[in-house]
Amino acid sequence: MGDKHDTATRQFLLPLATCLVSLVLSGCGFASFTRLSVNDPIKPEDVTFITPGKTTLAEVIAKLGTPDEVIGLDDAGAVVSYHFLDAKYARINYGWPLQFVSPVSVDMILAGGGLATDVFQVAFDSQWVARQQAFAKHVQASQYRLWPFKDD
Amino acid sequence: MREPQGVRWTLACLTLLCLSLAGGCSFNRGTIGDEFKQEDVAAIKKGVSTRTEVVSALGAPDRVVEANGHEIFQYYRYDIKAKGLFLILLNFSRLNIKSDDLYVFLNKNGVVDEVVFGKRTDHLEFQFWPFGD
Repeated sequence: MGDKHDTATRQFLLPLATCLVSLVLSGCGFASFTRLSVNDPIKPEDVTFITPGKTTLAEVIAKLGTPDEVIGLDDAGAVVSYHFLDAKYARINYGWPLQFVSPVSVDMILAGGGLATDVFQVAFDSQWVARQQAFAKHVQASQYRLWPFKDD
Repeated sequence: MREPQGVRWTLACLTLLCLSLAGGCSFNRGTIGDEFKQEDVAAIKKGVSTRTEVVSALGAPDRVVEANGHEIFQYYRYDIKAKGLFLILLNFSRLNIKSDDLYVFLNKNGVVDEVVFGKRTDHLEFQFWPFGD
C-alpha cells in the first residue's frame, strides 16, 4: 500500500504509453507525426488568481481541479503538484519512395522529437493557505524535429 | 448549372486519389485502475465516515500522505485513448492520457474531514491530429 504501489503504477504508465505509441506507429509510411499528452497543460495565466497568504486549497482545487500529488512537509504545511506532459515525435523515411524503383527495401530515416514534462506546485501552510507557487519545468522542449542533427 | 466535363473528371480523379491515400486508422484504449463508482464516493460522509468505512468502500488507497495533521488517502485511475490515421504517405497519431484523483482527508480521530474528487477523464477524446493545442 502507499508509495511503493504508487511508484510502481506510475513507472508502469510510461512503458504502457510507449507500447501504445509503438502500436499506433506500426503502419509507418513516408512520414509520421505522433503526439503524447498527459493531462491538460496549466499555463502561467491560469494561475494568476493564486495570492500567497490568501488563496486556500479549496480555491485552488476549484479552479485547477484535483492535484496529482500531495506531499506533507516536516515543518507543517504541504505541497500539491499538478503534472502534465507533452511529447512530440516526427519520423521521415527518405528511402520509402525507393521501394517503387528498387528491388530491395531501403530505409533512410530521420526522426526526432521532444518530451516536455512540467509540474506546477503550490506550497501551503498549516491552515491550507497558499505560501508559494512555481512551475518546476517548462514545456518548450516539446517540438517536432525533422532534422535531428540540430543542437538546439 | 451543369458542371463542365473537365471539372467532373478532376473531382473524380481527386476522389480516387484521396481514397488511394486512405490506408486505414486505428483506435486504442487502455486504463490503469478501476473506475470510481459515484455511489462509493457519495457514501463517504464528511464528519461521519471512518477510516475503516473508507477502506471498505474504496479499497486500500494507492497512496497515503501525512500533511497538516491529516492522513490523506489518495486513489487514482488513468484512462488512455489513442487514435491513428494512416495514409500512404503520411501517418498522424495522438495518444491522450488523463487521470481521475480522489483524496480523502482523515483527521486525528480517523474520521473523514474532507473529500476531493476530480474527474478529468470525462473530457478525454480520441484524436489523431497531432498539431495545435
